[in-house]
Parts: sequence; C-alpha cells; structure tokens
Amino acid sequence: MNEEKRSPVTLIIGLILLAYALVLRSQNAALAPEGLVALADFLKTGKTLGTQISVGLWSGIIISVVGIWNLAMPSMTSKFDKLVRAPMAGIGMIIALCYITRFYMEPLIKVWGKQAQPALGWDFSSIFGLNYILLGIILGIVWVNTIGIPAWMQAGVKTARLAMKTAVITLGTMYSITELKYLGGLSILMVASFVMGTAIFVLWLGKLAQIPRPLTGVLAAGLGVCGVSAAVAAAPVVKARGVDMAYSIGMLLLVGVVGLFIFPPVAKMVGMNELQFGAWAGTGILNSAQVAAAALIFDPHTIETLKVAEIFNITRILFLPFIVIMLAIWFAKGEEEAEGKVNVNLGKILVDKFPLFVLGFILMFAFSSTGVFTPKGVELHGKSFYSFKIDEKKEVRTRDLKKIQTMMESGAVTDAKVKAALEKLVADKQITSAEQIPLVLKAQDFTPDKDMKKVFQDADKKVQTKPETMEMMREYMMWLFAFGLIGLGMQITWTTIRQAGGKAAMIGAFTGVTKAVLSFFVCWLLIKGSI
Amino acid sequence: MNILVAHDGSEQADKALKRAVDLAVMAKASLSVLSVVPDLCMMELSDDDCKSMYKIMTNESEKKLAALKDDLSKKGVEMDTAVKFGNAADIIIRACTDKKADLVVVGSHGRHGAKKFLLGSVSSKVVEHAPCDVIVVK
Amino acid sequence: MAEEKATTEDQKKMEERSLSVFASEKKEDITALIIAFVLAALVIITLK
Repeated sequence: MNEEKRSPVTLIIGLILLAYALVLRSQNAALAPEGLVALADFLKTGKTLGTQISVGLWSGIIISVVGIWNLAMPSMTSKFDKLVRAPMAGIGMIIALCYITRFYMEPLIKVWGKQAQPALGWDFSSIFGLNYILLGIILGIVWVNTIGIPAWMQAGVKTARLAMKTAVITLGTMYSITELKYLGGLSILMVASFVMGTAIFVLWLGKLAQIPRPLTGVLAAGLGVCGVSAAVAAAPVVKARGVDMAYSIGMLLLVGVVGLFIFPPVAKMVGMNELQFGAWAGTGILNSAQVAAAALIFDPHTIETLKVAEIFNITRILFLPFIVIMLAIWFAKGEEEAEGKVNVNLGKILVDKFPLFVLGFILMFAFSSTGVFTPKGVELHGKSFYSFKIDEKKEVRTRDLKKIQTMMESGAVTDAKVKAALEKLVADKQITSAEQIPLVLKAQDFTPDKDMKKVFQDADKKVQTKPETMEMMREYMMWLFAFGLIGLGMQITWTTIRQAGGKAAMIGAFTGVTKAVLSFFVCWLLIKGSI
Repeated sequence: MNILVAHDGSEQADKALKRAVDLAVMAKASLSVLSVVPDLCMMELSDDDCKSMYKIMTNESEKKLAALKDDLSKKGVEMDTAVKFGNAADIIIRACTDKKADLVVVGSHGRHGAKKFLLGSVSSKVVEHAPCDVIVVK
Repeated sequence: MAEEKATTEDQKKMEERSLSVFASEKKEDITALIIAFVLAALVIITLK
C-alpha cells in the first residue's frame, strides 16, 4: 500500500494538462498556424481555444500542486486527503477525457460527417447526435467494460456524482420565475399521472404474472419514480430480498441505457422541440443522471432542453417519498393477512428520502432571482435576458418601423393592448419595458407575412443581452455535466446489467417501453409551442 | 479433502450446494461455502442506499450460511463460510488457491435470466481458469 | 478466526465500494451546494 501512495500519477496528469494549455497559449500568441492551432483550424475549434487554455491552466496548476504534495507527503488518512488529494488523479484524467471528447472527437466526427455526406446522402454525425456528451458516455462505458478503471482513478470517478449535483444546483440560477411556474405546473401534471399510473400498472401486472410481492414492489418504485435509487429506497419497506434487488437494478439500468441511446435520435427524426423532448426525457427515462444525459445529448450547445428535463426530474424525485409510503401501505395490507403487522416509520422515510440538493437548487434559484448574477438593468424574462436601456444599437430599423406603422394603419391589429405596445415601440424606436415584450411578440398573430413577423422577432432580439456572468456560469456548469457524465458512463457495467433476469426483466422491459412510448405521444402531440 | 462451493442466491446455486454437501458427507471432506454478493453500486444510488442494499444482501447470505452450518455440524461435516463481493467467477477462482480446495462445485448457470446468451458464463470461466477440479451441476 | 478476519476485510471493501468519497448522502449534497455557491461567488467577483 505504501508504494501505491507515493504514486506520481497525479503530478504527471497535472503537468500534461498544464503543458497542453501552455503550448496552446504560446502558439496562439506567436500566431504560428502550426501544430495544435492548425489542427484546431481543421477541426474548427478555434473559438474554443480561450476556454481550453484557461481550464487547462487552472486545472493543471491545481492538480500539479496536489500531485507534488501527494509525492512529498504520501499520508492519505485525514478527511481532507480522502476528499481532495486522493481523487485528484482521477479528476485530472476525466478532465483530460472531457478535452478529448469535446475538442477533438466531436469536431473530428463532425468534419467526417460533412465529408461523408455527399457519398452517404446524410450526415451521420448529426443524425446520431454524436456530440461530446454522448461520446463521453460511450468512452466511459467502453473503458470500464474493457480495461477497467485503474485503482488510482477510482476515487476520482467517485466525484462524478458530486459534479452532477453541483451542476444541477448551478442550473437553478438559470430559470426565470415565469419559466419555473410554467414548467413546474406542467411537470407536476405529467409526472403525477405517469408515476402513479406506472406504479399501479406494475403492481397489477405483478399480481397477474404471480410475481412475489417484494419484487413487484421494488419494480413498481423503480419503473414509476426514478429508477435504481427508488427501487433500493423501496426495498426495505417491501422486505425485498437481495435477488429481487439485483434483478431490478440490472433491469432498470438496462432500460435506462437503451432509452438514453434511443430517445434523442427518435426525437430528432420526428422534429420535437426542446420543450417536448425535455418533457419526454423527464417522464420516460428512468434514472436521474440519464435524464440529464439524454437532454444534453439532444442539445449540448444550449441549455433549454436540459432546463425542462431537469425540472421534470426534480419533480419526480420529490415524488419518491410518496411512492415509498404508498408501497409501504400496499405491502402492509398483504402482509397483515400473512404474518401480522409491519412497522414502517413514515415520517422517517419522508425526512430520509428528501433530497437535500433539490433544496440547494431552489436556494440557488432564489439567490439568482435577487439579481446578483446579472449586471444592473439586466432582467430575466421567459428564457432570455433583457436590457431596456436606451441604446442606438437596440433601435429597430426605420424601414421596419414604417412597416409597423402601415400595418397598424391598415387596422390589422385589433387588440388594444398590442396596439398600444406597438405605438410605444414606434415612438421609442425600441422596446423599453418587460410588459411590452409579450405584446410585441403577440403582434405576429395579426399578420400572415413572414417578413413582418420577423420584424417583431427582431425588435425582441435587439433588446436581448447575454450577461457575461451567466455565460461563464453556463460554461463551468457544462464542464461539470460533461465530467459527471463521463463518470456515469464509467459506472455502466456489463456485470450489473447481466443481473437483469426472469419475469422481472419481462415486466420491466414491457413497462419501460410502454411508459416511453406513451409519454412520447403525450409530449409530442399534446405539448405545443415553447416556454 | 476440501470442497469449495459458491452460492449466489439462485436456484441453480441451491442445487450445486446440495450436491456439494452430499459429496462432502460421502467423502468425509471439509466444505468451504462462499456466498457471492454482486457488485451493484452505481452513481444513481446514494451512499446510504448502497450500504443498505449490501446490508440486506449480506444478512441474507449470512443467515443462510449459519443455518447450513448448524445442519452440517450435526452430520459431522466441517465447514467454513465467507461472504465476498464482486464477480463470482473471479472470486471462485481466487478462493480455489486461497482455500487450497481440491474440488469446486458450481451451478451450470447463475441467477441471471438471459439464459441462452449468457448460459454458464461463470461456470465456463471457472472450468477454464480454476487451478482445481471442477464439477458443474446441471 | 480466519473467517471473521475475512468478513471485516470485506466490510472495509464494502465501504470502498460505495460510489462517493463522502460519508453520507447529506454531506455530499451540502458539499455540492457549497461548491456551487463558491463558484458563483467567484464568477461574480471576477466579472463585476
């Protein structure tokens, strides 16, 4: 053990990251279009060089320092050692994998896809959604199932969930109140009906197929709420046996992984928008991390889908205690006849199973709605930031203003409020208040002309702004997600999936597919428009 | 003589165990019973859930082994038990050398139900790699 | 005796097997919250 502790791995990885950032920086400054920069040109990743350098520099410095420390003082017993020093090597390695997938593999496949398009007739990189998130997960799965995770990386992989949680909490800063209200309402409606529906369906199916009650209970929780974690949470309540848990976990993991790979391309094929897909992934996919993964595979470059899916996911997690209680009551009813009472402390379940990080998410939302993250005068409405300060750059073109005037004179605008808003727009030459936005956008309904519609959209876009703080937070949040999802891939092992078996697998597969298909049609046909 | 048998909670494993007990009684051999708990923790599971899951599985195995031990001591068979985590095949192969077993008894397939595709992946691996003789119970 | 030793070893292994560097779920959640706040504070400080 002692030799292992004095390992130089952490230092080596830190130095590699540091060296990469420095090489990139020096070439950038010298304007020598050679080597890495030339490669970046070929891969069209030139714009990302700034991020690559700064992330590499910072992570490289931190990891190298810890690496030297690990070499010099190999004691690994204190809490700090366990939490910070031991995982550093694995963290560095996963960061390196983030670089490889995001800045090399994804661009390379994109270039290849474009090159192959004339021959194939279609661009395989965009159809399969081969972006860095998906590539990272695949890389993780392949790695763990072939060479396996070496001992020095294991502690680092264990921080993946922490990264995911931090990312979700950070995501809390990116919602506006209107968005949260709308999505919250929608998700409660969808999740409540699907969670309860699935759970009851599974209980009924289990009775029909004469599956032991504990196994049915675990499956009902797992398929209804949020996969593996719900199944295990329900296990003590329904007195599940180890075999039941093994069956269910393997099965739930399998259904989730299959969904993860199938949902995004299907949605792309039928042309779902971000709201529809977010809602579908949030209801149809079983495990929390897999929901985030599916949303990011669908759209890794903006966070709109992720925002929708994550609200659905959180709503579902909040349902977990109630499902566990429901199962407890269901199980106790059957048990009473057999062997007397079953003692279940319902209050304790509620307290124990309440996910604290959801509270963090809400806290972060509250924190951001005070406006600390945005510069003065910038407000979040709907899903965009706005600044209404009078500025020439925000003015609508005179030509377009005249068009608006002619449209109003023609009497096409019948709504008095919209009319007033448009009059104000013409007078001020730009949108000046938040209340004006929906009214100006609503004016689109009064004209069939596409160009005219675009005039109103432009007026809205002109007052939109992208605060630097939010962009930066989004960037680091994406790193956290990418990091966490590579870690997720590294935990999808064949050994676990292979546990799926027997009637449990049949019920699971049947219910999983039914739920996915049903929620697909509900989201696709019933959810219209966007936020 | 020392007979090693592994158990993962499946019906096949029950058969293997029964056969191993019969053999041990017949040959007046000592018996080593390994209870294998699969590695099932993953990111989706909170730590507490992970622990409670292993607790349930370990308790179950221990109870089963204790009952068996009682039963066998009456028959005069010496027996030692252990609960191990991880990949069943690897554990059995390792235990073969560690426990200086002369004979290993395994079920033809374990608890996973994807029968055709995976039939006997553990037993075939053990047959191939174990340093001692192997009996596969059908 | 050998048996007991093996079980404690496995107990240790079981702890290593859990997928977090934290002792409990709650601690991990709190750490995530703290990291999120610290990162947010850093962003505010550097850009404002």
